[in-house]
Amino acid sequence: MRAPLLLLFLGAAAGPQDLEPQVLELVTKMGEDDIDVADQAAAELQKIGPPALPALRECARKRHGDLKLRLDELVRKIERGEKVRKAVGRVPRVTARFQDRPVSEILEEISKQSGVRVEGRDVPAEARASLAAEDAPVWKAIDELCRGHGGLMYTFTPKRVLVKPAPYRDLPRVFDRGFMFFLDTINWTRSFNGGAHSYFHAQAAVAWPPGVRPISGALLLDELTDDKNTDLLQAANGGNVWYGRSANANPQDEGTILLPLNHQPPTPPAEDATALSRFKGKVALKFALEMKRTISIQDPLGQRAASEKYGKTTLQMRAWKRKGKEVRLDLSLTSFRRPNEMNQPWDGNFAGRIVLVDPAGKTYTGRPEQQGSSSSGGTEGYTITQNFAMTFAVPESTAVASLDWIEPTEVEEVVIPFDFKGVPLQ
Amino acid sequence: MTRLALLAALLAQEPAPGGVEGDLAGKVDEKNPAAAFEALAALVALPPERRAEVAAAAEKLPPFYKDVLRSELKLRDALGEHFGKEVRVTLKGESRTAVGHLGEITKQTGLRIEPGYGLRERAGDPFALDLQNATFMAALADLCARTKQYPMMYNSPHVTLNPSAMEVRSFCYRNFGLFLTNVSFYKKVNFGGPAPWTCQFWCMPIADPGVKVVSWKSQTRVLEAVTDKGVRLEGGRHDAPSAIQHADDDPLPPGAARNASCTVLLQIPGTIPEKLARLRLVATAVVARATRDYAVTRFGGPEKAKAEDDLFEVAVPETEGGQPYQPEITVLVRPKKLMPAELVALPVGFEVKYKDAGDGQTWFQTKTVDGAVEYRVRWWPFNYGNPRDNKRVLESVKISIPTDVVDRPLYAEFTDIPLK
Repeated sequence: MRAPLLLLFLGAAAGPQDLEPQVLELVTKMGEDDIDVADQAAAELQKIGPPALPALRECARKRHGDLKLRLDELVRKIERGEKVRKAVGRVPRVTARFQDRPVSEILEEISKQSGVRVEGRDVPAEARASLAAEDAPVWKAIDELCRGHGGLMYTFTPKRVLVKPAPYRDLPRVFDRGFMFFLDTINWTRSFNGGAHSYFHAQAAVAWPPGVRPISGALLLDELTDDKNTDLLQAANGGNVWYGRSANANPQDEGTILLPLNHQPPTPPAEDATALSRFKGKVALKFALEMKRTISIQDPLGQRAASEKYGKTTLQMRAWKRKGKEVRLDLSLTSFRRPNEMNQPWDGNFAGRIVLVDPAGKTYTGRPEQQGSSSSGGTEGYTITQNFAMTFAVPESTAVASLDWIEPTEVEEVVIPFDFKGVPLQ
Repeated sequence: MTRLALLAALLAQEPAPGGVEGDLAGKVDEKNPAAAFEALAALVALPPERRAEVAAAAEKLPPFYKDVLRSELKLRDALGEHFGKEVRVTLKGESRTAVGHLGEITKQTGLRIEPGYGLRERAGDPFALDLQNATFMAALADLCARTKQYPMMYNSPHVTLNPSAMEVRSFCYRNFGLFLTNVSFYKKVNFGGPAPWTCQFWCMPIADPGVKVVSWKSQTRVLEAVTDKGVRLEGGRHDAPSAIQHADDDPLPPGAARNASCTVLLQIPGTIPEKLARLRLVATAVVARATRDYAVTRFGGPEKAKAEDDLFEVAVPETEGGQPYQPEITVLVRPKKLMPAELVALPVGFEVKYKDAGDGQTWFQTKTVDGAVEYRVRWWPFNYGNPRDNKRVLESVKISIPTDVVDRPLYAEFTDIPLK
């Protein structure tokens, strides 16, 4: 038993050089006429992943024809897989066994293992709880802790999770890889002033692993019906989708773990509806695999105002102010969209980052503050402008070499499906 | 009949059993709440030496009005001069447009009433108002009812009028008016238990210049609500917590801004009723018994733009923020005897004037900075008729800090309120 385990250990720890013979053997099999053998070899190489890359690249360089094409494609797949893994993050997991321990102790352990800031808020010092979690995603562990206690409930802020004394609420939710999607509240308003009006919207949110940051998120519903058989998605255009981006989970904001997502369907429930019989759809999160500096305004503080353009995007600095280490810029970001682009989730445009760069190349990210937006256009397309201020902390003695717009050039979409049945409306 | 005339008439009559107090108490009848509150106000206005007779008359009142009278007498004793002197107007039957009547009221009272969008644009036909020494509030309520507007005092010493989608129901008492508008019904399901419909009214409180109200508590307390079918409704609460807190920082403590509206919440079991037959509630005004005012008129650097006394140091370090049509300034207030967190909880008021821009309103955000409180004050004009892109020239900033505030409960009663 020991020998195979030893070999397994050695295999797991093997570096790229140790893998070279194995890679060469599999590349040879990829060149065989038997398609099943060739495909199996490619799959095993993809499973080895990044450690196989040096040898694979060398093999691809030396080969020709169809095999070279397949090797190049395999290298691209593994490289992309690595980028995706870095962009989307690992699943933060928790393994812990606590029986009737102080809540603060359990939260501290969850934070330590997962890297997520989980804090008690107004939890009495003497409060105790239990948790049995075995390699559980962190969001599930927090939910289990609160559910088991019954008198604790979690609240997400943009950058952390607060656990407060409150009756536990069993929210409709899914845990998927490192993500958690949940329905927070359903809000239904009716008024009769100047005619009958009904507004119905669902407030939901998606949480992701710490250290990563999607550039956009969208809540897309496939089915939304009430228990009176009303199709809430029925509308002339086939359904209304609300693309969520909270001002507090802006891509400019480092360290966020949450994106609130709202959905307002075109049709409200029937007046006497008591539940949503089906709330089914998916959350689509986009992650930037590569970011590229596309706009750079040189020496911004040496000018009163400035503007630069790249493609459909224009970055305008309308004014600036510097006081001590605080640099505040009034900015406008303008993008042009064609009509068929208007109903797509935002990607690229407005999904980038604005940074200041000093002469040594160090970048500084800012704190944004929305000031308003406008759009104009017609059949040819729309010009959308967002106005905002950004405040940067730059040491007083440090010059500012440039103001840059960095936008995603390669994007990966992560889809989180959900299917909630019998969601109460009362 | 105005209250002074009523009192004078009663005092001129032959004494009746129960005296003046008894006569006034006899007019307190729930069939006519407006007359009832007029009579109650007259009872409260009687000289202190008649207090024993007033107390005796109070015993004979229906329970709700007894509570009102007792509360008002207690407040009169506690607040003294801050109980307020009514502001009165006389509109002698001249025919004017609504805007014309507002102008006349402003001329007589000094309280500007800004006609909002819609009323400015459509002057309407002139009409006559015949109000003899009426309270400012009664005159305002009359105009609002005729023009289907509701009034609001939003972070400004002036009143603005706004179009109402429903008939505005008003309650007037002495220096105060409450205006019910914009009823809606909501339910918030947060998966923590039953979520019935809640009826919500905007309740716009107005105080005339005779009493120094600096803010209002945001929620009213419902004492009684009965539908047209005789169903009694309980007061509602905003208590459906969310699992999402949109800001990482903790929300500001309550009382950080001058609240300009209240809400009335009612729980609705079952189907939504057509009307409320009666609604009795208590709104709470925050009255300032002492205020420190600071005026800054010279700008161009922190050393010049400053004012101070033994309690506060006030500076205006930034005057160039925001957009031309919504400029923003920064005001820094350093308390000398309070903690910054205590200052944040006070309803500080700002009056900002820009050259040739007319009057306007303000809104602000706060944060504590090195032992001081920083207010980022945004201003916009009542009338956007001025060119929006012109750079504004700041003329003056007045900061009012109430240093001694007290809650002033206001009992109110409405009848025949349409919900649909």
